[in-house]
Amino acid sequence: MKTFAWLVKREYWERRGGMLWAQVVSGGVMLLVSLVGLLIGEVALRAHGGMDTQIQVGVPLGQLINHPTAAQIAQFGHALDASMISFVGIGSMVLAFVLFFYLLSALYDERKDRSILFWKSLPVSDRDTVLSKVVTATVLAPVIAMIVALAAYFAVLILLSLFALLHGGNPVTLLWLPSHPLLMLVKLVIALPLNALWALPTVGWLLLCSSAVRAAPFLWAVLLPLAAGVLNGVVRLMGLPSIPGAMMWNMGVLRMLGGTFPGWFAHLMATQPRDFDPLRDGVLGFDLLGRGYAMPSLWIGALIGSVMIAVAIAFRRRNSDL
Amino acid sequence: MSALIEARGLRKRYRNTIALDGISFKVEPGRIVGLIGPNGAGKTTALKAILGLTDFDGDLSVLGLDPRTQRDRLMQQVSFIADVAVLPRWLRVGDAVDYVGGVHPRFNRARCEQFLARTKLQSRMKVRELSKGMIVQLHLALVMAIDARLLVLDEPTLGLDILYRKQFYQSLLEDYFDAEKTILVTTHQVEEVEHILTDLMFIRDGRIVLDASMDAIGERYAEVLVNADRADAARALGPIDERQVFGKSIFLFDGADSAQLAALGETRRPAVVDLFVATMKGTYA
Repeated sequence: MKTFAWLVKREYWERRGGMLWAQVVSGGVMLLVSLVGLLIGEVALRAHGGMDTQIQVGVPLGQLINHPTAAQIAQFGHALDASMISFVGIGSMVLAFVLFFYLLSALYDERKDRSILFWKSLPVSDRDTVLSKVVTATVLAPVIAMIVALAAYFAVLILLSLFALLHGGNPVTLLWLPSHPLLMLVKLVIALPLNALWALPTVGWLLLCSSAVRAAPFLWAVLLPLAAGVLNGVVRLMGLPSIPGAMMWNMGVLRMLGGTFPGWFAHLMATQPRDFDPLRDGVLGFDLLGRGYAMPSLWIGALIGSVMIAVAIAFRRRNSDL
Repeated sequence: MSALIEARGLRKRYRNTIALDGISFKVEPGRIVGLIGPNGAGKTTALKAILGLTDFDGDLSVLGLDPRTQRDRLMQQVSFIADVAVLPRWLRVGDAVDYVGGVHPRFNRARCEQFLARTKLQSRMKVRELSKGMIVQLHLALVMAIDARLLVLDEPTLGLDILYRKQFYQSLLEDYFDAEKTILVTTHQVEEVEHILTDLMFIRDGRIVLDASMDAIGERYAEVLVNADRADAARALGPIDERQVFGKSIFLFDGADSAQLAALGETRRPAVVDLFVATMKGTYA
């Protein structure tokens, strides 16, 4: 257990740039955009006498300072909850790119620079080494990304509170009480394992490529599934038995390459009931999370991903250089 | 006590070449063994087999374990420096010490810091900022702080200047080696390890062509400096090598009678390099 913690720490040392600083930059950009929004709102308010500005920073600024009704205040709460989710969502988009390239090089770079001979000179098993990379990608990095995104969100909320205060509003009753940050946090934490399970086919595939190929892991990782998809299409055109196109691309190719993106969310949003209103019902409902965990494709993918991780471990045992 | 390393019929072939051609050898504990051979002779393959880094055919026991199947346990007791500059470039000196201390139960942190204090290495430095010599100093400090029973060194001083090379072997001998430890080293800089070795193994084309203790080598081989007029007499005794220096001939004999040789001229123990060159004649032809 102690060894495993050191292994994960080692991953973090190597990839601090992608795992921490990329998140800090994207959080900082969101904060900056919000700040600019507030400044533009302030200028517009002064120019138009504070009435009909359309500027929105989490909530519509015009409404916020213009004695909102109870219904409007309730809307503020939902809008802020949605912003909280979207801050984390944007962070996870950035993270998805970082993780894709992290996983692709995780077992390749050490063979290329021959540092694998140093790592293998220590009493650490190949299994633990590979699993530490899986845990880094599915637990450590997402948690760091979430903490940074939430810090950015709360910084924006504080700026918004100052803005309300400046214009005679009470931030506690207008912003903090109507929104549900704790409830959102619980939902986001529940979504973490869902993200991880969803990502497993991609995690497994990229680690497998990273551990197996002698050159150009990116090309292998991307071209092989694409070629399989195209080949399947050709076979289909010839009228021979094949996997249905949508299934091949959505369940196969996309899950193998795009799993670090929280695709389950888009998948489930597309199948929401017709009268669903994210502002009223909340973007990330418990029912939606429940439906996520109930997807058979989630578990099938996770199983396939685990098998590929096992193969990657076998390759790491065998290959000690390129 | 039984041998630390025992190999029987070790065989390994790559696609076009045979790297190990059924070699057998033993390494006893408390020895410093030099595994010497020309490029491509199978040195690195033999070390990789011992370290469980490659598959092979035959029987091999290292500290009573099979490196193919019990590698994780084996590495608790075995350290190695595979080659210069295999430390990853992004690693910080301090993090490297923390990491090895974190994962290795036999690592002595205080000892490592004591070794590092003798160098110019700073905890915040990254490997990419270090010279080749400093990287090896770091690697050596890490390895010497591990209380392992077997240390394997594969060309550890390749590309280093003479100061670093001398310091490397001196540290090993003074601060690391004792009766409980065994060192197996390969290098091309034979002159520099010669005086620290207790045993010598020559490997050529995947076969062991010489396997003896340094004492036995001193008894078995002799060099004689012979004047030109007695050269034919020396040749009649069947030397394994002959070279000319300042009008005299130097003959290298394997197992010749020492009294007979002394009659021919001045005798001495041959340098390992000369023995090596004589043994490996025609390797690249």
